[in-house]
Amino acid sequence: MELDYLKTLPLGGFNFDNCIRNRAMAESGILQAPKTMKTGTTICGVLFKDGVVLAADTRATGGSIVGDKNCEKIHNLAPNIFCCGAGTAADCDHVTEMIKRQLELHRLNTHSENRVQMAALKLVAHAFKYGGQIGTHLIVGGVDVKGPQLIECSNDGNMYSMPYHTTGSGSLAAMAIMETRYKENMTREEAVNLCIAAIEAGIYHDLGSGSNVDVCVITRNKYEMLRNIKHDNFKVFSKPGGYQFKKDRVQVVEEFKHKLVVEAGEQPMDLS
Amino acid sequence: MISGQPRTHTQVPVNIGTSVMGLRYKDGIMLAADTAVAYGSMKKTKHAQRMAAISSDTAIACSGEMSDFQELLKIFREKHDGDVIENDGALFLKPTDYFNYLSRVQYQRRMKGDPLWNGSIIGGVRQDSGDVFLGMVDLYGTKVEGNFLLTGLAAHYCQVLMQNSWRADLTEAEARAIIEDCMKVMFYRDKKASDEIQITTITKDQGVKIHDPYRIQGEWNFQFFHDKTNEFWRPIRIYNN
Amino acid sequence: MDLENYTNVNIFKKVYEKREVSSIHNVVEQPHHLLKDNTQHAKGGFNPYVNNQGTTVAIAGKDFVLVAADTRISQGFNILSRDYSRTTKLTDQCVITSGGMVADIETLHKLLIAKVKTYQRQFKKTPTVESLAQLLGNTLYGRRFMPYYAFNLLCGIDQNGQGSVYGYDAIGSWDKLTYGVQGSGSELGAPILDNQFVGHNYLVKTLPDDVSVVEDTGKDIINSIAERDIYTGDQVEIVIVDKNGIRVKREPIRRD
Repeated sequence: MELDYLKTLPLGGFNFDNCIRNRAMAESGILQAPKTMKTGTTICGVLFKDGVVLAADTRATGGSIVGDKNCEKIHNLAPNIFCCGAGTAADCDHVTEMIKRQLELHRLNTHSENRVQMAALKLVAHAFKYGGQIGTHLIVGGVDVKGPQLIECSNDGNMYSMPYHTTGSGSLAAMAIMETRYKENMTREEAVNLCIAAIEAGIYHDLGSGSNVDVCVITRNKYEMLRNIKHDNFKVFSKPGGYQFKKDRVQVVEEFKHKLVVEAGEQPMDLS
Repeated sequence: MISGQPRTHTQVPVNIGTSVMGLRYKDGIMLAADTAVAYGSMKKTKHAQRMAAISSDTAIACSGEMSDFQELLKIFREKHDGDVIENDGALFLKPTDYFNYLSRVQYQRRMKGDPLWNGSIIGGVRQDSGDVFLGMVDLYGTKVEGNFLLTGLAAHYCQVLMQNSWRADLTEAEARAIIEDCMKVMFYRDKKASDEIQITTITKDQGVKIHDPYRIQGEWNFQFFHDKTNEFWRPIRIYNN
Repeated sequence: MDLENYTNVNIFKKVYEKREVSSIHNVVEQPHHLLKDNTQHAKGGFNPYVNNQGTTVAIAGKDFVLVAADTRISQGFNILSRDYSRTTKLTDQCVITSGGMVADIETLHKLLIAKVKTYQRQFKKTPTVESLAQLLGNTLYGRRFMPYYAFNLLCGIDQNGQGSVYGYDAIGSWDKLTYGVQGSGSELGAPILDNQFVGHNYLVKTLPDDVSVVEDTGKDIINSIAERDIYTGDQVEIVIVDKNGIRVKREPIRRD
């Protein structure tokens, strides 16, 4: 057949071509294989009387440098399911996006609402397939036919269900707040405030987390994204008058001027 | 021991006491620790005392290697006895002196590559002037002073709780409540912690007072655990491809 | 998978050759203490160094020196202290400011204070900044094989009344500068300093003469570093050294 070359084309999914090369590079000691960027994060979720609250900080770091001061870590999986992501940023983004599409297809096929359990199981099934290599540490929350649900999904394919969860580098500080202040059957206000306190614990006491607090409240048939509900961290001082860049302090090697003529209307493209 | 190498003791801690805490309150200093000593993941003993009085107005609480803690106590006892003998009751070392001395001992040992594997909190209230002191030294000799200090895993978990509820005018009961809150979190979340805790108070009036250990109560009866069991999320199976 | 002819790049060959070498015969013939596992064990799991991070900036002016430093020290992702002063007064006309490991920094600063006192007793005068610069260089190099994990800036007023900054690495290589930045945010601070103060690419090289402008710039630089460096924050400590002595002030910056 003439189209034999089709067989040589990649089939989709991940490309593992460089694995052997990277291992050899690492072992040779001459070159280092590239490393993935991981986000220091504080994310949490709490069950309350008639729904779930998810919350996250908004700092994204690469090593010790802040890459994004106001990023979004709460992802949408379905109209009734949201998910906070910690770990490798790219993995969180792409895996949630992938699962989102799968859930949408499932919704269209079955004409019914997605279950949180299913979303979580899909996430851990994917994570487990790659033996922990996919750095997704997620907290999935939502309200489905079985009521409010909160499930944590580890990168190694583990999932736990607890009334409150924290993950990320600031999870320890946030968990201390949860352990001391969580009550059963909280109101929406109480739950939101608890989540804000937990995330602020991470923001102020963990260097990997910072900036603002995002909160997402999911109740039956309704969700509410409260983006930057707390925004207390900003630059407190800037030099009055700004900065001046004095040209005369640098040597000018050559100077030439061009006359720029701008004509009104459409111009033919210069093809010379 | 490998011949040709200098003698070293702790390169890897073995008998580990987990985090200790200390905070200032109205009357002086409160130090707290639980009473467990872990050997790997095993609790070797659940009734060890991890705090001690160094002098009449200074006390220390240690996390980390417990043999090194005992060595530290020996070092301090010698220092204290020498102090008493030399000064004949006239002048004694102050809490800050013991603190700085500890920091130098730790720094010297780290330079030898033979550290005393401890995070220590020293607290003291001077009997003469009433000056309150609280300081922390780690195995590198780093000195940190503050109103509330935590070592080990508690530094990650409980700093928030301390920060949120600490005031300069805490009463003893309030300080104890904060400590118990923190210890409860540590008991929930630190596998090497235990629910039996011990508190030392140092005040101007009473000096160092090491209280008897007692147990703290945790909350284990959330309705959630009754309602939602494994059955709740296991039955659905997803088969990829 | 046959890896023999996987590629002809040298590094791969080396890797697979190395694999063969580590056969049981070679292991047995090696002296006991040279075995890889044992040398590691002899060194132990103890790493005597820890980086407590933090940033410090120093700018020399016509008749003053300004130090702007943050006051946060941390261990890993954990904050140890939010009000640690990384600047120490050595003489009335000279301060040292450092980033790196706190235990080493404190030891070094203490040692320098002792050396200054010894000098004063011995020579009946206060050491000049130039002398202290040389002294610090020698002190650091004296610990060449177990360095002080401290990155220093020595700042003071020299004999002509001019501000001067001396920059060091951990083992005592030093140079006279007109401005310097050390610590975790040094990569972030260096470009703006290069741009704002007398730099190598500038034709006109004059030291700044207005303290307030330099102070604002120093404060702004620490503020800006705190925006992007996670180890910098909490407070900015401004130390100004001029002919009247040393002034210190602190202002809060972002705490997250």
